[in-house]
Amino acid sequence: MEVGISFLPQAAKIAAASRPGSKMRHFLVVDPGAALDKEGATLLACLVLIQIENDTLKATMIESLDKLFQFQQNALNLRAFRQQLIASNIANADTPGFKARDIDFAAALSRATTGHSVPLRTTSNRHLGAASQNEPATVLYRTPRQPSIDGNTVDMDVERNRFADNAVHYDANLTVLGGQIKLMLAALQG
Amino acid sequence: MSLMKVFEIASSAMTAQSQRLNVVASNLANADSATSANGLPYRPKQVVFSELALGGTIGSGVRVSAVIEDNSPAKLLYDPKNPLADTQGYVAMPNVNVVEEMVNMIGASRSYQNNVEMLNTAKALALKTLTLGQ
Repeated sequence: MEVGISFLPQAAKIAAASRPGSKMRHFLVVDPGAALDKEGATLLACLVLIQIENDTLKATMIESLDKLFQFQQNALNLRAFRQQLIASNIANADTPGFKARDIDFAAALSRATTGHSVPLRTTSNRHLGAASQNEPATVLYRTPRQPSIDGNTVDMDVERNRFADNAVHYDANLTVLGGQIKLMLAALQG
Repeated sequence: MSLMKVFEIASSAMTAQSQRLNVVASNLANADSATSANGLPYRPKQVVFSELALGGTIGSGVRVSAVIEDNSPAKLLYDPKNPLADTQGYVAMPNVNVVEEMVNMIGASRSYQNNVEMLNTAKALALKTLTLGQ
C-alpha cells in the first residue's frame, strides 16, 4: 500500500494516470496556499496513518472472519458426516453382517481444528489451501452390546439415541454460527 | 454436503423395506393358494438385504440383493374331496407361516417408520442450514 501526498489536485490525477497498475489510490490533496502549522501537520500525519490502517484492516478482515468461523465450520462438517454414518447404521438395521460405525467426535474435532489433516498440494502460493476431500475422521466400529446371530451389530436404541443427539448438536452449532454471523454483520454495518 | 447423503441412505432403506412389506403381503395373500402360476403350490418368498455403497462416501444404503423362495416341502393337507388331491387324498398347500409373516410385517413397518423419521430430521437440519446467517 502506498499513499501519495500531493499539493495540487491536478498533479494527483496525473500521477494516478501515469501509473495505472500501481497501488497508489489515496491522495491527500493539500492546499499549498494554506500554512501548515503544527496542528495541521499532525492532522495530516494522522490521516495518512488512518488510511494505511484502514487498508491493512480490509486486507486481513476476510482472513480473520474466516478464522472466526473456522471452528464452527469444522464442527458442522463433522456433525454432518456423523449424521450420515448413523443414518447408514439405522438404514442397515436389518442387513445381515452389517457392522455399525461411528467416529470419535472429540478426537476428530481436535484433529480438524489443529489442522493435522492432509492438505491438497498447491503449485503456487496463490492457490487456496483447501483440505482434502477424504473422510474427515477415522471411522471406527461400534462394540455391540447385543450382537445378533446374523452378524449385524446395529443396536437400534443406541443408534436412534446418537442420531437425535447429533441432530441437536448440529442445530446448536448452526445457532451459534448464525449468532456469530449476526454479530459480525452488526459490527460491520454499525 | 453430507446431509444430502442421508436422504439417499434413508430413501434406499425405505425402498428396501417397502419391498420386504410387498413380499410379506404376497406371502399372506397366498397362504391358501394351492396352485400358483406354474401349477405348483405357492412358495413363500423372502427378501435378502445387502449393503449398498454410495459413491465416494463411507455411509451406505440398503438394497434388496435377492428374493429367495422357500424350498422346503409343501404342507400336506388331507382333503380327498379336493380336485387337486393326489391318489391318497392329500393336497399340497403352501407352507406359509402366518405368525412369522406377521412378525416380519411389523418389523418392516417399524424400520420404514424409523427411516421416515430420519429423513424428517435430516430435512429439518438441511432447511435450517439454508437459512444460516439470516
